[in-house]
Amino acid sequence: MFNFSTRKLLIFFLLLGLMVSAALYAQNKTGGDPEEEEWDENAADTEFLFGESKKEILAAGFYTNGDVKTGYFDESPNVYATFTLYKGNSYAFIIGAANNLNPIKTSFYGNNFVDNLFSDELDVSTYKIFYINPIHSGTYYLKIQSRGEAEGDGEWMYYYGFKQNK
Amino acid sequence: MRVLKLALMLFLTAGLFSQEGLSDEEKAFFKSNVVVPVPSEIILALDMLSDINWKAIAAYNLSANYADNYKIALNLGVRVAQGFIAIQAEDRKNTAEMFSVCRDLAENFGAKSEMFVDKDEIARLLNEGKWLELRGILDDIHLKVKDEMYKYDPDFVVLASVGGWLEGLHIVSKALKDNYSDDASSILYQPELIDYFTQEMTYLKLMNSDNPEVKEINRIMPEIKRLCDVGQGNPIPLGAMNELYQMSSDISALIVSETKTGSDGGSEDDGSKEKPFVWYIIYGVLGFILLTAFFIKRKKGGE
Repeated sequence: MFNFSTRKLLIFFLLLGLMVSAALYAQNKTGGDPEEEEWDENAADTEFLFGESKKEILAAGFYTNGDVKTGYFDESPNVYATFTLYKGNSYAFIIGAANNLNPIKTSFYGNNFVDNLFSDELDVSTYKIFYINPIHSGTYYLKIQSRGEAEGDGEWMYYYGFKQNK
Repeated sequence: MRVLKLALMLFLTAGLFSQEGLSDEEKAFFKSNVVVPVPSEIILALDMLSDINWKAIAAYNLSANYADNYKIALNLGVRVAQGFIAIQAEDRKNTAEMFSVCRDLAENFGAKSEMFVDKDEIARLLNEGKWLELRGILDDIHLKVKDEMYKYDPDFVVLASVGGWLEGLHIVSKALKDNYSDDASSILYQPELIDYFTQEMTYLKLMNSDNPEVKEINRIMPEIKRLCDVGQGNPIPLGAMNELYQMSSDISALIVSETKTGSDGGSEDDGSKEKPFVWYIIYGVLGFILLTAFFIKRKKGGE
């Protein structure tokens, strides 16, 4: 039916098709790895900020249990948290943002919102450490506010460390 | 002069804008996310403000034998708090015991052995007096176990937190009633935390709240709030401190008691009552079979 050269060409194309299918199958198999699918670049960013800031506060003698809170600005543009701080301790509050397009603002209140212990802006993808020596035990409030991060991968994080105020 | 006036006006305007006021609605948002402090925070602060002999005030309970999950969760919180006290007191024996009891209790909620540091490693750290490292390990276990408990039932995380907090109140009030100072007493002023725990306790499922321990906690929480609500910077009077100690001491005794109450304990009791009845049925059936066999054999023999 076919002459020799046509048959060779047909075999060549068949082999080529087989190779392409095998390559595609292999690619699919690695691409379908659930761990790789769940890989989140932002998580690494806040993880990085956490790692860097933790080194800094540990060097300053603070202790943290590493219970870092994170979230996305498009889900919660304003973040609120209430803390109980004790006189006799020193605290280091670490506020950070990753992959955000705009700077963020953070404020910390005490004495039933009468005292403003700090209020500052943070640049894109960075963290700041705020040190507090409470003069009274009681309730304190943290607010992290995005400047118009309605969508995107902008992420916030906060945690704290403490030490005896010797 | 004009430049100075302009600068002053700019400065005042900037000042006005920076005094960003919070509306009452916005203030309410803060209460939706209350961060529970770790037990060592209050222990360290109290250690700083008062001359406490931690070895003398600490009392440990080594029991891990509880039938109901709600009670195991409450006791896990209590033992973790006692573990922190043992570390603060630099008490080798009781620190080791608390690590062991916490592990036994946590295993009920699916905590795996990988979560816990090896016993030999704990023993090494104890022998070398590495108290800071031990505190870190206990904190780490505390967090991981709470994560596991959350998967099991979020109610147990609330119960463990409340158990730990009440044990903290028990120890702190005990220390302060014996060694009172105005300055140190204000450490127990934590209104939002009390409100948070009170509210969380009302959200517990009936299966976890219909028991004497949780009912008693719900009863005393408003009392604790009343005694501690002195306003920021004000001392809690010694009389109130004595009342707080009595209340927290009673609830602590109720939590750690091994009396079997609630669903599981009840079913066990019912089971023990049912056992003889089951045996009567078994003996009855066996007797009937033997009698039937006897009569059949006799009938056959007669033929």
